[in-house]
Amino acid sequence: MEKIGKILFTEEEIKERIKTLGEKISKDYEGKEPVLACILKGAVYFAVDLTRSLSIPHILDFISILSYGPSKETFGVVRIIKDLDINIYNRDVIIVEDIVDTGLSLAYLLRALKTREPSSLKVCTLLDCPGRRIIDVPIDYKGFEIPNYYVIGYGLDYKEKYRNLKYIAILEE
Amino acid sequence: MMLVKLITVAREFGTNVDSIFEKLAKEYNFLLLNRKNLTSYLSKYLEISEEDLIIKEKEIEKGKYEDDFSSKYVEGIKNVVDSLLKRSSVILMGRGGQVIFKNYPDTIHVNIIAPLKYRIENLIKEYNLDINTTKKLIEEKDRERETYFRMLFNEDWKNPYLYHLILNLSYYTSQEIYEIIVKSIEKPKKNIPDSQESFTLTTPVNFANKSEEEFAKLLTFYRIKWEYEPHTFPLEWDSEGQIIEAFTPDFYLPEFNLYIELTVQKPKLMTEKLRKIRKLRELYPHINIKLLYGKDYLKILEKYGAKVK
Repeated sequence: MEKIGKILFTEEEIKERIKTLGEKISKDYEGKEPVLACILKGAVYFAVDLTRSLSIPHILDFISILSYGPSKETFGVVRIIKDLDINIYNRDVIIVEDIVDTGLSLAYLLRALKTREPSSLKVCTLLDCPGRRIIDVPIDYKGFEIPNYYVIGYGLDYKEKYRNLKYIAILEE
Repeated sequence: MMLVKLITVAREFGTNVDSIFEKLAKEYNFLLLNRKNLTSYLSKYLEISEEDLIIKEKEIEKGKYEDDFSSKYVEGIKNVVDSLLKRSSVILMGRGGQVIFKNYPDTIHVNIIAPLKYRIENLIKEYNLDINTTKKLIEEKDRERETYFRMLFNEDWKNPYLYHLILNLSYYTSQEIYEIIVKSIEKPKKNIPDSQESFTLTTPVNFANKSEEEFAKLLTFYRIKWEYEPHTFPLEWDSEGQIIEAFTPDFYLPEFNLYIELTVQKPKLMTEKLRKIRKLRELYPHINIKLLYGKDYLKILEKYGAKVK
């Protein structure tokens, strides 16, 4: 039976880091109106708090892709299951992720969104786990770098549980 | 939806369709270059005041031709729009865009027309003018436009071959015109790898173990092309030039020019593998190889819910 392990980042630490990220993004996108493409479901908590820390006009939108899982025993392929509502052609877009680990899903999303010819396309992730990276993907804004832990909380789940934790902790099994 | 980069708009005086393009610019994030802001950009480019620029444009419309200024003026419009196109898509209202940008890629030239009767009625309704004043005004503006084109481009702006789309406002409503233009500005779709059919799996492979097979499935799921053990790199040769040691990475991802080696072996065997990879990196420094360690790799598979039996 899994349980909540050591707390990696407290609510305060997360809040503080997001504030800094928001200030940096606001500065970089001054005079622009970026689209924040939040990846469902994990990045929702992060995206919401991030937008509250932005001082520039922006649009929050959501996108969801099919994840690889045990039911995909046959050679199915990833696809967008909930697309952005907004047309991103010629717009500045920031993909908002909860965690970048293997880089596989992000590499797919970057390719898919690039074909829509946004003005610019950047990545903002709360957590970066380079130890699990398979495909190198560009990360423009990151909250925290973590070792190869399975983490939960603040949007990150284990079997859909623990997303609502206000902190980020290691999952112990 | 992928859109054209430049829309040039010609319209007959009295059609009053600018609001259609203002809406289009707002909805699809185009920079709208109307007379006002183009004058501002152009006066800076030509280094003359906006007032002087307007006077000079009026002179062209009246048939006064200054060879030097006219060529600078046309060049100015081209350069201003070119520089704006680098950071935004543009809707250019009037100013001979259909001629200046005739052969530009990703560009559509639109002309909105309406019969004289319609335009008269439209202007009377809009500005509360009397019929004779309105007729005179339209005649004068039509003449000026014709002269402007003849002077600058030696072209008849009513030539239908200058346009991709000519729409008659007496037949379509403004909303219908808007919708037709929206449909027309969509570029042909590029090959987007977004359907299951567009991705074909490499020929069936006999993998050395279940982990490799699972990894191939994972890559395939994320539409990442892979090749299984496509290259062998010699690591050592004997005195006669025979290869006595070589290394064959498990996977090659051509789109990323990346080799991947999975190591789910026992520590003793892993040491040997690590030695070989170190040697490979020394002999072939341009090779990009990534090593996925057993534990880490199993965690990745677990994350995706795929258990290696």
